[in-house]
Amino acid sequence: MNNVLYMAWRYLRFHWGKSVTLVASISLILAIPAGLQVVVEQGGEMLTARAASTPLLIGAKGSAVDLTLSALYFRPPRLERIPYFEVSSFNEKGVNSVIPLHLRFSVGRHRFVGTTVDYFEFRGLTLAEGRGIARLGECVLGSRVAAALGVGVGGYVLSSSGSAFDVAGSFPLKMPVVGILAPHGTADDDAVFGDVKTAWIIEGLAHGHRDITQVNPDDGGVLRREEDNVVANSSVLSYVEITDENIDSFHFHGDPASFPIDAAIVVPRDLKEGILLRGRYQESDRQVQLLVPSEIIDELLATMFSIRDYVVLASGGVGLAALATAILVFVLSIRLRRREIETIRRIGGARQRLNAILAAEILLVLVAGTLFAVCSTLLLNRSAGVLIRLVAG
Amino acid sequence: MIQVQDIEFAYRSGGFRLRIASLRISAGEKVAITGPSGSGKTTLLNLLAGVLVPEAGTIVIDGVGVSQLPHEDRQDFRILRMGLVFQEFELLEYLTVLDNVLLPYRVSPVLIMDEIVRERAEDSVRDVGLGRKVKRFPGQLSQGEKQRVAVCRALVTQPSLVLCDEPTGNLDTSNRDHILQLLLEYSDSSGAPLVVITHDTELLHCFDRVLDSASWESETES
Repeated sequence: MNNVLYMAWRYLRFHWGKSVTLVASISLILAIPAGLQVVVEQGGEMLTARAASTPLLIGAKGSAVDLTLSALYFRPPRLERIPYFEVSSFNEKGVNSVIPLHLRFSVGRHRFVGTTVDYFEFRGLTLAEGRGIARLGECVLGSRVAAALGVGVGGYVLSSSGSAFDVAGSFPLKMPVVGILAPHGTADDDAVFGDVKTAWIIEGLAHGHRDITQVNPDDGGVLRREEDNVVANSSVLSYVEITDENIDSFHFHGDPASFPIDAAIVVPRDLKEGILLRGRYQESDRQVQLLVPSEIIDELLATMFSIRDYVVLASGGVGLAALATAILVFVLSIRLRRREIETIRRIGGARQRLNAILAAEILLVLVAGTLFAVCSTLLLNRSAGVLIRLVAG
Repeated sequence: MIQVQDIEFAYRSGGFRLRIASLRISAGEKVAITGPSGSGKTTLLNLLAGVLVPEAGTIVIDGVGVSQLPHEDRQDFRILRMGLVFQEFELLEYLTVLDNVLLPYRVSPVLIMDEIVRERAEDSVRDVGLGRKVKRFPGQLSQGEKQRVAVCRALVTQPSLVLCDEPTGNLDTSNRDHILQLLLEYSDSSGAPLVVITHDTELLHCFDRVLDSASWESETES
């Protein structure tokens, strides 16, 4: 090894604590702004890509950001809900498709998305195993949900009830898993998909139970029998699982057109139709909004980028302060080593060689710090997607 | 051979002035310099080493006018031709015993380290009884061991002049005798003059000549 580098290396190695601290400081100075840039850019790309592939969204009036994040990334919905009628009315307007999204329930900590089979085609979701939803009560798991729950095709998952204090009838439904989606690197990996009617069953708007018209009054369960109506008591339990034997007993109470959904994806036939639709909804005095998700995400990103700029500016300031401290450490270190430097000079060491050794020490620290910063930024670049999904839920 | 003629030296900060009319040290001669503190012993050693440059007069070592050489050449001459030993050992704490011995080769481009040099360094460390401690750091050595390493460092370049500033000042009797023995043996075997500053009168009989710095013309300026 070159004598200059060898001497520098021996010094840094002997004083490893100081060296590691300096390398870590320089690494952080460089990695924080670079890492932030990577995370914000990749986060932006991920947000933009999903928003760009979603032409229009319909939901209750209120925060457009809440509606967009809820419909695109299955964040817990905060807005009022809209009746299913809004979806069926679109079909009359002749759009390509309208895909309902019911997002109130979850399976463990994973969102249960009540929708239609059109959703899978619209998002280009493919199955890694099993089949798609074909019957009421069935569900398909996103790839990460399947991995997290350790459930495969043929297994079951249990929906969470709406609330611990919901005594009105929202109860967990045992749902057979009929398919596992292939990983797509989107929020779909973290969701459980079922039919929107299944979501309504979980909500208590539809249910199945034994036929009380056939129940012997002496067996209990029937309170009274009228000409065209039978009143049952609470001993007549609803089914918590939909099977071949009981599926025919499931029925809706009320008009499904009035049942709630949280949002719907609207796919117009073309751009012109989309613009016309937006105009129509802007004029409308209904409590419904129609929005273009990419516009909302762009606004959100503009805010994110300006925040990033401030953070980069702030970390630049912190970086300069840390750099000044590092320079001070080097200068003080050289002062403390005056005796050692004097010894080398007295035995005949060349001044240029001495300066080269001191410079090499600084250079090695800078190179190591930069290398660590580059490696951590590259690592972050590769895993930013996973990290963003973890942080963003 | 060393020839000093009519040298005069004063520190820039003032306070001390040294004048030596004539001093001659022959090849292989062992000279002890003794005398009271502040009388110019270390100043003379630094002048001989070329660390300091006299205002007037000449210092000639092996035919080379050291005091007339430019700074870089004086450095090169020093590391090539002289071995220096200090009272405080002045070992580098972050280098192992062997690396400390090889230090002159690491800090000067005029010395080339090869396998022969490395073997010579290892042999010298072994010869002074530190063969099993070549990878130790100075902080792990006793005072006597440190000075033995410092002597090995001074002699590894096979110098033609050895200058020592109180090399045994911080050592016990046993280590003192050992260190002095090493220096005297080297002078005998190589023919290099040995100049040693010492306050230890028990050692003076080991030298060919004793110079008393009190006899020099030195003055403290007020």
